[in-house]
Amino acid sequence: MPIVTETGFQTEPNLSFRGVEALAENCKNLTLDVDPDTEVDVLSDAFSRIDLIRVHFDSFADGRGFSLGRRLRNAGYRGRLRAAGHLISDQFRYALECGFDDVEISDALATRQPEHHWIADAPARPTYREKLSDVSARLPEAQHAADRARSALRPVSLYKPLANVHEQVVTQVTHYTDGLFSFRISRPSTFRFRSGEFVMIGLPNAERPVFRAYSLAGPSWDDELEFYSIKVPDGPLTQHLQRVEVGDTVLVKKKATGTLVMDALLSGKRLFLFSTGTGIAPFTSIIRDPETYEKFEQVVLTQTCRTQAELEFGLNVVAETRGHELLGDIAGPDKLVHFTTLTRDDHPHTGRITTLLKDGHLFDAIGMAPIDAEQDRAMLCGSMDMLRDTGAICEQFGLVEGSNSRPGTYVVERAFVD
Amino acid sequence: MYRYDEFDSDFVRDRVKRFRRQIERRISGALTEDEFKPLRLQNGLYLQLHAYMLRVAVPYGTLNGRQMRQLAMIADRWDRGYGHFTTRQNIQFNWPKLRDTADILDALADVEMHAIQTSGNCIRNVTADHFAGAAADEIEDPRPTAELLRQWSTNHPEFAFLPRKFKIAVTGSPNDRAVTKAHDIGLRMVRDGDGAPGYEVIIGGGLGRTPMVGKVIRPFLAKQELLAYIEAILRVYNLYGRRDNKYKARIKILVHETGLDKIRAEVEQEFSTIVRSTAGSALPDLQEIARIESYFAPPAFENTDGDVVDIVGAGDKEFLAWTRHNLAEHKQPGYTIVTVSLKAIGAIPGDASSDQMRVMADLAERYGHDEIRISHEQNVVLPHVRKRDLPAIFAELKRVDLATANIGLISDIIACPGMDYCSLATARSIPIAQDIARHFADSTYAETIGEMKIKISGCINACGHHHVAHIGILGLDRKGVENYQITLGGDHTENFAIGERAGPGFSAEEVVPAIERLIQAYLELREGPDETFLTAYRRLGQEPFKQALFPNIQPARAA
Amino acid sequence: MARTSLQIVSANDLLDGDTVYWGTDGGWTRTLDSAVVVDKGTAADALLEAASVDQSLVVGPHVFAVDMVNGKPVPIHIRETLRCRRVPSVRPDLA
Repeated sequence: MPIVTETGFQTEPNLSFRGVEALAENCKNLTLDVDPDTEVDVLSDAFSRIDLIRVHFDSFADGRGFSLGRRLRNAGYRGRLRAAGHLISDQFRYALECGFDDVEISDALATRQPEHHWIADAPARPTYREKLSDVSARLPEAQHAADRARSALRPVSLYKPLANVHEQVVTQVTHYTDGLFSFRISRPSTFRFRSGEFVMIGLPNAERPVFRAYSLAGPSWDDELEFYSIKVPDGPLTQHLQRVEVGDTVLVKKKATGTLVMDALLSGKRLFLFSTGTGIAPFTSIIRDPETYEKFEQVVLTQTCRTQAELEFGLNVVAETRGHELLGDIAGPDKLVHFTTLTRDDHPHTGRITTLLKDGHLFDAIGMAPIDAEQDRAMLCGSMDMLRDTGAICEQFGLVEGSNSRPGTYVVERAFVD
Repeated sequence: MYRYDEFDSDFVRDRVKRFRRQIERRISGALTEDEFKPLRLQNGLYLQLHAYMLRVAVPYGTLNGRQMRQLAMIADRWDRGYGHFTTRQNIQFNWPKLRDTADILDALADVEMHAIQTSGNCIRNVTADHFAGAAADEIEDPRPTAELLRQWSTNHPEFAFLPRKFKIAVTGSPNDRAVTKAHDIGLRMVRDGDGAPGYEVIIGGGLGRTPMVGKVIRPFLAKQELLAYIEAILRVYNLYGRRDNKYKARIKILVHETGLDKIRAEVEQEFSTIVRSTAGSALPDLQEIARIESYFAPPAFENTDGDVVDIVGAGDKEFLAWTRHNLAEHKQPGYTIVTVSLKAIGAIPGDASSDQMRVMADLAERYGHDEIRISHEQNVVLPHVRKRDLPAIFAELKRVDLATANIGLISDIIACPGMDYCSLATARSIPIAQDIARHFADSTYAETIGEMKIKISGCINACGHHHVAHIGILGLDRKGVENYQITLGGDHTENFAIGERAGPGFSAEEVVPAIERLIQAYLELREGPDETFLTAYRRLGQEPFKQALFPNIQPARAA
Repeated sequence: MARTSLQIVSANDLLDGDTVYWGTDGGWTRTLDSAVVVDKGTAADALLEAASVDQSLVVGPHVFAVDMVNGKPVPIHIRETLRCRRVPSVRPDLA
C-alpha cells in the first residue's frame, strides 16, 4: 500500500489503526481510522493525543472526506491527516489543499496510476481562494502549508503509455489455405486466461489500432499465445493481420474473457464441442488443457468445414495433443473423439452438424449414445446461423444455456461468430 | 466586462494542459471511464446520443464580439457550423471529437473563455440577470458578485465531488429574470435598513424530478460575508447531502427532509467556525472585490439628451413589430436593450449558425459597446444600443434570419435539446417547439394571444424549465413511444410558481391541437386583451383549461 | 402476439462518440446490419459481459431490443431508432 506524498510514493512500517472507540481509553499517540461521516466534536477534545487520522474514501466520487479534512483543520487538528481508499491522482491536489498530508492507495491503483501521475498533480498552484482572500489576515499555519506545498515542485513529465495493451512478438505463422492461417506470439508474463477465453488483439499500424476479439487457440499453460484466423480481403484487421511475419509486433489487450470455459458449465460426464470454420479455435485450447479431462470422462470435438484443407489446423492440433508427452496419456482416442465433416468436398462424413445431430448420424458414427441432458454438456462456436440452429437442437435435448455467473449445461460464445 | 489577469490566463491554460493529459490517460487506460467521466464533465464534456458535446461557459451570460466570433470559428473548425445556447447561459457544441476538445479549450482560452465546471457534481457556471448593467429597474449590477463566485468556486478542492450538481444565480433587480427561486442558491441583491448592500440568500430551490421553491435562509447577508456563508452552505451540503439516491441528492431534498430551521442552524454554526478559525481569510479581500467591480463599470454612454428618436417614422410594419416586442427599457435615456430572437419560426430554439454568430459579433462591436448577453430564455441580447441605430441593426439581423419579432410571444419557446441530442432525454423537444411555432406563425394571431411562455423539457430533469412555464410541456417515454404531459400556470419571475399538471399526456401529433384548444379557451375566457394567459389562469383556476384540453372528460364535481 | 425479444449490444466510440455495435466479427462496427443479434436473457447478458471487458475503445456498452424485419435488425425503442440515424431528426441535412 503506497503512501503518496508530495515528493512521491513512500512505504511505511505497518501501523495499527483503531476506530474512534479507542479515544475512550486514555492512550496517547493514537492512529485512528475514521469514516467520512464522523463528527469533528467526537475527536476535537483528543486532538493532542492523536498522531494520525486516516479518513476513508469509499469512492473517489464521494467528496465528503475533503470537507471532513477541512473541518478537522479548522477545528485545530495539527497532527497528520491521511486520505485512504479510492482517490485518483487527479484529486491529489484537492486532498492537499483540504489539509491532508498524504494519500494511501491500493497497489492496483498504484500500478494503473504510477508515481509520476501523482507527482504531476502535486505542484501547488496559487488558488483562486488565496487570490481572493485577505492575505494580511491569513493564519501563519495556512501560509506555511502553502509555502511547503510550493517548495515541493518537481518537473512534470508527459506520460503516454498504452496501459492496457501488451506489445508482443510473432514467433510463428502457418498458412493453411487462401483463407486460413494461424500464428503464435510471445506471452506477457502477467497475462492470465482460462482455456476457451478470447482476447482483443490488434496491430500497431495506426494511431488508433483496430482491435478484434480472437479466441486464444492455445491452452492456458502454453508459454506462447496462439491464434487461428480467417483472411478477409477488406477486413479491418485481418487484411493486415494475414500478412504478419515472425518478428512483427501484435498488440494484445490485458484482459481475456469468454463464456466457453469450464466455469460456465455444470459438471457432467461427456463434453461436446461443436465448431464450424475458425470456431474450432477455443476448442483447440480446451482439448489441450488437462483440466478438461479431469472434469469430463470423454470429450467429443466436432469440426465442420467446407473443404479438406480447412480441416488441417484441427487435425494438426489433435495429432499434436495425442503425441504430447503428458497429454497423450490423458487424451487418447477413447478420451478425445475428433469428428470431422465437410459440406463441399467428399469425405467419410458430409453435411451440416445440425443435420447429423438431428438424424442421429453423428452418434452412430462415433458409436455413442445421443445427448442426455443429465450427464452431457456442450459448447458451441461458429457462425451466427450455426449458433442459432445448434443451440436450438441443444435445447431440444434438454440442455440449458449457461454463463459465467449462471453456469448451465451448454454455453455459446457470442462475442464473435465465424 | 471582466478581463483575465495573468492569474486567470495561467490558470485556464494549466487546466487545459491537465485535461489534455487526462484525455491521453483515458485513451491509454490509466484512467477508467468511471474515473474519467467526472473529470471530463468538469471540463464541460458530455457524451450524448450521437457524439460528444462540449458545454462552454458564458459566465453570467456576458460575451464580447471577439469571443462570439471565436465561438463561430470553433463551430466551423471543429464542429458542424453551429452552436446551441442553453437555459444556463452556456453554449453547447454538439460534434467535437474527444482529442479535439483540448484544442477547442485552448482556442477558448485565447479569448478568455473556458468550459470549466459547466457540468459534473460541482458548483456550476454562475448565472445572472441577462439585462444586468443595462436594465432600468436594476438596484445593483449582479455581475461582480457572479464573477467573485466564479473565481471562488473554480477548482474548489473541497467542492468538486459534491453529492450532485450545484447551481447559483444572482439578480440585482426586483424583477427576477434569473429564476433565483429555482436554484440551489439564489442571491437577490438588497440593502439593509441603513442602505448597506448585501444579499437575501435563498436556498433549496430547483426544478427537475421534484420541483421546489427556494426558501430564504438569510434575509440579509453583508456583502463581505458572502464567500464564508456560501462555503458554510456548501460544506453542510457536501457532508450531509444524500449520496444513496441520485434523485434525492440535490440540496433541495436535504433542506426539505431536514427542515429549513435545522439547516439554517447548521449553516450558521459552520459559518461562525469559518470566520473564527480562519481569522477572516475566507472573507474576500476588499481590494480584490473593488478590482473586480471596476471591470463592470458602465460603458461610456453617449449623452443623448434631446436626441429625439422617432422610431415610428423610421421603418416599416415589420420593423415596428420588432421594436414592440424585442426591446426592453434601458437605464440610460436614448438607449435600449435589444433581444435578438433565436426563435425564428421553425428554427431550433437556441441554435445559431456561425454566420449568425459573426453578424451578432459585428453588431455588438459596431452599435453595442461590444457587449453581448445570453439569456436563459435562449436568446441573445445586445444590452447597450442607441435607439437611433435600431433600423440599421434590424436590417442586418433580418439578413440572417435573426429579426423575428416574437420575444415573449407564443413562438419564443424554450426547448432543451431533447432526444435529438441528449442521452438522458425520454422524448424529443425540438420538433414539438417547431410544430407549435409554425402553427402560431401568424404574427397577428400571436400578438392577439399576447404574453405567453411555453417551455419544453425532453425529460424529468427539466432543463427546458417546463415547471415554470405558463404552458409547460414535458416529454416522457411511454413504452418506447414519446408522450407529452402538459403543466399550466408556472411562472419563473419574482411571482414564482410551479405549474400544475393538467391530466394525462398527449402523443406528439396531439400536442399542437391541445395547445390550440387551450389558447382558444383563454381567448374566450379572458376579461380583455390586457389579461394575460397567466393572469387569467390565476383568476379562473385550472378547471376551464383542463376542460379545453380534455373536452370529452366530464369535469370533477364537488362532493 | 409473442414478440421476439432479440437484442444487440451497442456503445459509443471513445474517440468520436459515434454509435457502434458489437459486430459478428468480434469487434465494434458502425453498421447496424453487421451487429450480432442474440436472444434476451443469458445470451444477451453474456454478449454484453464479453463486449464490456475492454472499455478502452468505447463508452457505455448496453443492450437494446430489436425486431428482425426482412432479415435486418430494426430498433424497437425510439431512442435507439434515433441513435442509429447518427444525426438529430431535426437536422437531416447533417447526415
